[in-house]
Amino acid sequence: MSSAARVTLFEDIFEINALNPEGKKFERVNRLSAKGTTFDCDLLLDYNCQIYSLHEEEKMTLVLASTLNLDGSPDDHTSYNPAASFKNEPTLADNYEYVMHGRVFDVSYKKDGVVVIAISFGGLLCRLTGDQRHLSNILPDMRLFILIKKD
Amino acid sequence: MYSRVLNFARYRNFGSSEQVSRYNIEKLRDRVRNGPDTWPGANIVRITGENSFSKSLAFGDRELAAANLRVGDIVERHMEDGDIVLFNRQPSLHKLSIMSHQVKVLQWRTFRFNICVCAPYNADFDGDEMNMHLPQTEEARGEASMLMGVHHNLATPRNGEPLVACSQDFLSAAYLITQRDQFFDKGMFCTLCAYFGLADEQIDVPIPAIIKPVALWTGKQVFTAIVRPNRQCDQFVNFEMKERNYNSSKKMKHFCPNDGWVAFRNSELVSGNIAKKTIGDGSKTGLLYVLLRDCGPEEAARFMDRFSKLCSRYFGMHRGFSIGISDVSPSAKLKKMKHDILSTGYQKVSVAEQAIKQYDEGTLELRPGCDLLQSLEEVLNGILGKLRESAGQEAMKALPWANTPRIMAECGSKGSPLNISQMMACVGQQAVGGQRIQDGFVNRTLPHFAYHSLTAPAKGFVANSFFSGLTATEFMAGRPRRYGRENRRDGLHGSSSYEALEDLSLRYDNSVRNSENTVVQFTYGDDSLDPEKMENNDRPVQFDRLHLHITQTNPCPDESNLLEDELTDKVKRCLEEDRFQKLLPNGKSFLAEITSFFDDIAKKQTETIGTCDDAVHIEQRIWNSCRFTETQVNEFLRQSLTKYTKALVEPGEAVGATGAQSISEPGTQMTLKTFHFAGVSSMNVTLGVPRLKEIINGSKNISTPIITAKLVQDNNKVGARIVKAGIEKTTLGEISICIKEVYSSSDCYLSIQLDMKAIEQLRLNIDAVSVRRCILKGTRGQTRPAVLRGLLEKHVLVKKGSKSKLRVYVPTDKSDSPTYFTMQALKVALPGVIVQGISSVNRAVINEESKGGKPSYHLLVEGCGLAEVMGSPGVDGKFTTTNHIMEVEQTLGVEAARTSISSEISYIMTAYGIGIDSRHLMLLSDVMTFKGEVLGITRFGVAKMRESVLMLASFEKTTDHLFDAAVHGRADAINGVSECIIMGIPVPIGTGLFKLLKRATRPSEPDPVPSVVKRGLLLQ
Repeated sequence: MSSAARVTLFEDIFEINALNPEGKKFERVNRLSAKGTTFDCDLLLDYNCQIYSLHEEEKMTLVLASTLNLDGSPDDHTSYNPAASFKNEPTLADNYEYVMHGRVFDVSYKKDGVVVIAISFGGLLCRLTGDQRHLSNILPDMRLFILIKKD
Repeated sequence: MYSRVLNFARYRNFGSSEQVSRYNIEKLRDRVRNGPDTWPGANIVRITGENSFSKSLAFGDRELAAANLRVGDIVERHMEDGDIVLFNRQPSLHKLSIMSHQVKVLQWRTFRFNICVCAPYNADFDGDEMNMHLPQTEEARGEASMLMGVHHNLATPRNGEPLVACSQDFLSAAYLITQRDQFFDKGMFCTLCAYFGLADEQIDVPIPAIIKPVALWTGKQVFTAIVRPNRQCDQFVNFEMKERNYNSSKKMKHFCPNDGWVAFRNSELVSGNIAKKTIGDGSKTGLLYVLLRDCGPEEAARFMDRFSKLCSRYFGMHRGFSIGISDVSPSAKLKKMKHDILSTGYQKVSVAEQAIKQYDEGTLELRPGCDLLQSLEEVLNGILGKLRESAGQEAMKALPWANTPRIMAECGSKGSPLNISQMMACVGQQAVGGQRIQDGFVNRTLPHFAYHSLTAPAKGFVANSFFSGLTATEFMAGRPRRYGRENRRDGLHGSSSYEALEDLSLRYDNSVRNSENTVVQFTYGDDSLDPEKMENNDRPVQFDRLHLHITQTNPCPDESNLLEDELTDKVKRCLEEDRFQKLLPNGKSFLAEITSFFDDIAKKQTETIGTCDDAVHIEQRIWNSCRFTETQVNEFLRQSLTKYTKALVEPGEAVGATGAQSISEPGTQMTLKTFHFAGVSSMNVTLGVPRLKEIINGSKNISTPIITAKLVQDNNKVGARIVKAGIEKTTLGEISICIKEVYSSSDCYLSIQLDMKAIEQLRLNIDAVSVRRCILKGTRGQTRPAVLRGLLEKHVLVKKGSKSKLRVYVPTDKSDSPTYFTMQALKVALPGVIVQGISSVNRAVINEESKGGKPSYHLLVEGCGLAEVMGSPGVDGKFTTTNHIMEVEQTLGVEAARTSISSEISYIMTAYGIGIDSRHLMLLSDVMTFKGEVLGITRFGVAKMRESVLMLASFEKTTDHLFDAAVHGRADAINGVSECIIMGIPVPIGTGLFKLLKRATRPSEPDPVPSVVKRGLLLQ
């Protein structure tokens, strides 16, 4: 198993169906609903629309990773290290436009092998619904990064 | 936080005495040198030893006095930082009205404390005065800080809800900070973190939620940092709850579009905005409660402390939060909308006018159990009520997100959507006692209206908003204020129930006894649990939350899950262990709760796993819902047991006093006097303090007795009508077409013609024969008028071949009075003859309920006569109850009355939304019934419960009791609370319950030890 594969927990290209399906409630946050093109997963994701814009019918690559270190060494998920930003070492984030950090807070099982994974990025939520075979790398209560870039 | 009660700069005469020891001698020397005029100083030195004397420091050489200070001397010093004081605000309605604080002496002459502590004192800052007491002995200081300390009284003993909690501005700040779109850059985040601390603890900065394109932290991360500032905190909170703005129709839980589902994982706020339910008072699901229960009161206090610092600094320096007239000015669009609503409303009001017209013509359809006027009022109430509602909804919709009144209403800090809509749109219908404004002038509300006018404005409908301004007549349509007199009366009533309960305490054998050692309850509340420590529905442990907590704090990733049977077996084995078996018999329901919880988990496991056989997949599926490893089960059971054991009441606890306070303290909240009974608009019941008083006094006559009767066939409306007709009192006058005088040459008689059509319609079982019987025999339990008693068999005859005609001849034989007069008297008496039904019943109403989609009927009977109603054909006597306690006692016995007392009080409390633990009610009903009959808590009832003369004299009619006692030479054992206070002795309750008992000279044969040491008799 290559190091990149261990780092990446899930990767897919999503097509955005709708922005704010329940109506826009927050000024600076949009909720997008998207469909995965390869694994057919449903995605619901909150993102800061003030600093990053996405539109309906756009395609984006979404990666869930357990660390940003390219060599795959595990990240310290508990505290902020301001020195890291000055080191200029290449990280996984360099290839992406929008990166968030958070934790999985709920994994629940729907019928027929479908699991629902809920992740919170400091209150910005993400819900990934899909077949368990593709999502089994994502462990309950783990901390992870989400990385997005537009295609 | 609340350790900072503040006090005036120097206060010469307010201090406490401190004994000199080698630890404080230098400090006290300083005090002595300062003398009485410099703070911190001392007033008096008491030299102990051979030639002890007191020396005032106002005069003489203080340096010398300081130098001569020896260990063992006593210095009367000024109050200083860290002293324990008692703080009190009148009215002292419950035990939380007096609590102990730690002093921090500051400048100026006002008391200051954290506003979170305002709620238990019911204090505000509009000129309130409070009292402070400084305990003088170490014992008093110790007891005050342990038992009365604010930390130990964060929750109300009424039901365990937190009472010391965030309010007002704190809620607004929490709500704003935890909005989903609140982002802070590094500088701002660190500033906020610095705000909530005192720089005495480390704060770990978490990884920002958004790393790229710029590092941004969310408001929820700030909140997380407040709950758990650094990694060294080993107390975690885990819970999920619905916040006020949760959209329950969507059922999206964490993904609620309003962000209303609050979830904490290991002290990390994962989703949801924080508002009143999470950190406000009166919520048992929220963060404060979980902190209080799982992490201890200190942690909850620290949280409030941090948050109050953050709140004032955030609002003061960064955000600002104000409200002005512009915030409630309706926009042009809204004005038009309101106009539209009101004009369609006026069409609706014309619907109302139509209803009024129908009423005038008498064609209005009657509502069940109402007369024409009541029906009209109900129709109008509905229409006019909706008008304001729809105008208000439009107003709320039009408000932008940042509107401050809207924010306040949403997070629960102040105001409600109703207030906002009244300011912006329409004040709406004014109601007094559930009805439109009553006439204050002759036949009209105000002299501006026509006589008997029933139109909307004439009956108090206010179309203007507070913004647009009220017209003169609208302004007058107000509701009466609640007067201070009523408050005082309620307080008096509270004190009377307190008198009867004050001396009850839990003894070491777990029984509740009064000061005369009479057993009131063998086990307090049937399970010896403290109402203050109940988590959920009067039960000690909330298992779902505990489960979440265990799975988060002990993830045990290396252990394997216990499958269905293994799990239930394991739990069964554990529950058979001694530590659990010891809880029996009181803990039986607790053990059953544990078993049923694990049964549910096992069932859930089977469902979730299904046919899956991949171990990794199984783990992922069940991890967050029903995974239980060996360690987790052990930990779960251990923590449940700890919670249960902690929740047991301690011996000595004054359960009676807390119970009485819990029942009487909410009295001030019960304002509206009458309510509709079970949704039946025509049936009003007395509620609130008057009703509470009826129950507690054990009144023989209550103002609204209502019997709720279950029917044998509860799905049949026609059947219900028949039963109703059999119960409801029907008089002869109501079912006769005419009662006419007939004079002929031979004789004269009264001819009665029954209205057979009406009888048929009302489903009555009456014909001429039964009427004849009723005239002759009357109904049981009712005294018949003298004229009717004079009637004999031969005088009342049924017309042959007719079922509807009767003749009543005038008895002439014995009577002295002229026949004509007798006849007139008969004519007056006959319409009142009860031909069917129960005489004590005024009215019965069929009430329709939907039970599982199908209509179900039961009867509400206004009046007394429980036995008769139970015995009526068609009524299911086993499920028939009344709200009349004394009647329950007479009909069903004292045990039923006991149950009835607590269920009736509980009914009142739920009507006002006041939560009260059932154990308090049980205790009250036991006190009222433990003598074998229902004794009201009045001076007569209390006299039967207790023998102490002093106690009775202190209650009511002081001199009468004292004279009486003197004449009969009665003795008083001085055991109760009142007596001890009068005599100035410590009360044998709580910490005064146990005494140091020393074995006397004869060790072989110890005297039986009374649980309370007897003292000398008063009038020996």
